[in-house]
Amino acid sequence: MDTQCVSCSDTLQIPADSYQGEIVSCPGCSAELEIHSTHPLELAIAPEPDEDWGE
Amino acid sequence: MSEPTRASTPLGILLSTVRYEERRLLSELERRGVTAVRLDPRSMSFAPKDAEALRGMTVLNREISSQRAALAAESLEAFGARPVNDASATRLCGNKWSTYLRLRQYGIPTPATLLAPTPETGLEAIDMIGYPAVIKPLSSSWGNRVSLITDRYAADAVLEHCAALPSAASRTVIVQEAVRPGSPDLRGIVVDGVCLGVIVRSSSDWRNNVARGATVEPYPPNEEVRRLCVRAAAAVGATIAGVDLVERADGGWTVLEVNSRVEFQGFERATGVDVAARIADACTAETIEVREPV
Repeated sequence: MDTQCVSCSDTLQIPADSYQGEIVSCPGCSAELEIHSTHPLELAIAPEPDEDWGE
Repeated sequence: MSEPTRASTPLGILLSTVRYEERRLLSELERRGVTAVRLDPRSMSFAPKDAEALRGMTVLNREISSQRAALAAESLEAFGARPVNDASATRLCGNKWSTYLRLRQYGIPTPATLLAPTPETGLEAIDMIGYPAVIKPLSSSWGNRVSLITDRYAADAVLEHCAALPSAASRTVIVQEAVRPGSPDLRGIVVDGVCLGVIVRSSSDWRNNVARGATVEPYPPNEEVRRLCVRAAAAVGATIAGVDLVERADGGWTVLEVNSRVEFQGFERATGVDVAARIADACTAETIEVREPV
C-alpha cells in the first residue's frame, strides 16, 4: 500500500499485512510513523518512547 | 491453589504500539480464527457505560506503557473483565521493590535489596550492601536509569541526580547487591505454570537487556533454573512472565526481576519456541490457573 509520509510527504510503502499500531520509518526523512488506521490507511507521527515503556 | 477462572469470549488484547511481540500474537490469534478485540488504553476512560462490553472478557495485557498497563488492568478487573496478567501481578512486576518483597516473602533467592527514599538513606543502604551496588528506580524498563555504583563518588553523583528528579516516585530508588555485574544472565519465560525455556543474554554493557543490544543464545536444559522461573512467576501471581536470573559466584541462582509483559523476540530467535502460540493457548484456554510456588 502506497501512502504519503505525514512529515515529509514522500511516498512510502506499507506492507499489506500491517497492523494498526505498528511503527514504520519513512525512508525519505527517517520519521517514525504510527499506523493509525489500516482501512483507510492513515499514518501519524509516532509517539516518543516514554520512560515507562517496555518490560 | 487459586481458584481456576473460566475464560470467556471474545478475547480482548490491550495495546497501543504493535511491536514484534504484538504482531506475532495478533497473527497467531488470526491464524486460529480468534477474533481479538483491540483495546487501546490511550483512548479508554472506563466510563460506567463501558462495563457491559468488558464484563467477562479475557484481556491479554500487552500495553507498552507500564503505568497504562497497570491502570488498565485494575480498571478491567473492576469492570468485570479478566486481564492476563491480572492487576496484582502487573502491579507487583511494575515495581521493583514490590517484586523484591514478594520474592523474599516466598523464599525465592533474590539479591539483597534496600529501599532508599532519600539520598542519605541511599548512601547508608550502599554502605550496608557494599560496593559494587546497583541503584534502580522503582519502575524502569529496558535497564533505563539502572546504575552500577562502584565507589562513593558515583553513589553521591547518582543519588544527587535522583534527588533532583521532579516526581516523588522517581526520587525513590532501591539499592541492590550487584551480583557478578557484567556477566551473562538468564531469561526464562513462563506461561501458565510451564517454563518454555531459558536463554542466556550477553552484552558489552553490564546490563543484558535485549533492547540494549544484548545477544542471546539458548541455555541448556537445567531443572533447577526452570523450577526457579516457575516459582518466581507464581510468587508474583503471573500467568505469563519473563524471569531474569543471574548465577552467584557460589553457583546458586538468584532472581533479579519478573516481567509481566514479557518481550520475547530474542527468546523466540534463540530457542525456536513459539511463545506467541503458548500465550494464545493460555488466553483461550477454558481455565487459567496461577500455580502456587512449590
